[in-house]
Amino acid sequence: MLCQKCKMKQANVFFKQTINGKTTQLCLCEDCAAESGIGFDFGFGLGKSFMPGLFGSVFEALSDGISSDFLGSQSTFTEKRCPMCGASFVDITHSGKVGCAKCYETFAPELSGTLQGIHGNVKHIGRRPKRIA
Amino acid sequence: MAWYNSPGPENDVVISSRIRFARNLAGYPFTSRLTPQKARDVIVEASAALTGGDKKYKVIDFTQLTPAEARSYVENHSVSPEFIESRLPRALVENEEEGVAVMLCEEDHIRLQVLRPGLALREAYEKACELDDRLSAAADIAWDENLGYLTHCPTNLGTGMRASVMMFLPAMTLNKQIGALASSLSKLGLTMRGLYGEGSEADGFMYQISNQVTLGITEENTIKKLSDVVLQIIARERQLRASMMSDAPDRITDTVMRSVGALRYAHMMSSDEFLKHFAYVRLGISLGIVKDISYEKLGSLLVEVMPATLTLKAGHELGPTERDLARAKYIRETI
Repeated sequence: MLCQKCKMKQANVFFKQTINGKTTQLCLCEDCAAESGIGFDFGFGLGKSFMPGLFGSVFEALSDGISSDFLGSQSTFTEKRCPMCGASFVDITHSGKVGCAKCYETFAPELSGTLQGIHGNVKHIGRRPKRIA
Repeated sequence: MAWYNSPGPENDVVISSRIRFARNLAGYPFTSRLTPQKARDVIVEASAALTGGDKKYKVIDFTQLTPAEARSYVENHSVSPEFIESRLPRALVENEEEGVAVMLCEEDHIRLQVLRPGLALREAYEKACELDDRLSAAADIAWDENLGYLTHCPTNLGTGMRASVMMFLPAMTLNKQIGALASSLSKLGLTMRGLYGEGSEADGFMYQISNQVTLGITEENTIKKLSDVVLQIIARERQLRASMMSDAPDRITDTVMRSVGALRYAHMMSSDEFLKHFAYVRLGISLGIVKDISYEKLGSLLVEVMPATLTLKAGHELGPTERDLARAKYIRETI
């Protein structure tokens, strides 16, 4: 299904919120989820905690009566995990380290600001392996 | 002959140079997510790719060492303290003659290090590249066109290289110029730390200066930048030593010779006290005050009288007093 916010990309980040018995669900693409501040800031072990106020306001802005049984069997919290090592972005922010090489691709939108903060807006210009897979 | 007991360029100010590459095998999680079996697989694959079966490289299984044996490798700067504290399978591939010490399953799968005496960054770099090329020709290394070498910690992305120089700066320390130096280095993307603590006579006036930037710069430029700065620091340190000798030759000679006396005759000596006397005697050699002790002989003490290395020599655990006695005895017999 399409992301509720941009309505262009496929949604692959799903959230469910239940307050006072009322359940609302949110389906976003990775970029909109990251832009909306849904998730953690990468802080090398000093990561900011989840910001429920912001999360709530995103819900208010986007929620338009989507049925709570919309996702059918998707009734539990689903967060993105690296398909290679299983790390979540929470794991990465908690430890300050990524789980594997694939994490850099899996969490590219979430990591981009942090990598830019560490290294600036540059790319690699040094040595390369003799054999590139 | 190792970095601490061999002659090297600019020996009076530069003790050693080190190049370290961080590399990871593609297809495995990074170290903190390895199971013990996967760690063993990484060790087998990486050590085979690095050595090509060449018997001049020893592969040391760190899970089989006693605590004192493991600690002695920290004391001679072959491995990090974190490496010996890990509970994962891990190994060291080494060749002391070439200054090669490659940690397998430290923070990254492969921490390839080459240490050389004196200011020898280029030589260390060339040896590190030789090993790195052999490794990456035989094994798939985690790498990306934009991010370079992919590392466990994002701060090492890009070249994955840490180039460092261990410097001996007694004159700059005694003239209170270290703070200003550290601040200038930081503006140049370099970092400086006291070797054993914050930098004082108790640390032997020794400091490690390294690059911080790893992405968006070539390895060659990193080394050139570091070398250029180190050469300026060498010039400044020598100038200050000459001024000190010109202003107060008797006072400096007295301080140096008291330290020579302590090393030659003390009955007991703690590590802290040793480092202080080591520093003044080393200064004395560079100023021509001490003529019968070489940098190499003095340098050998830097490793040989460290606690774990003394324990290994004794063949049994030593209490603090026994260590201080053993240290003083070894120094008297060497100096």
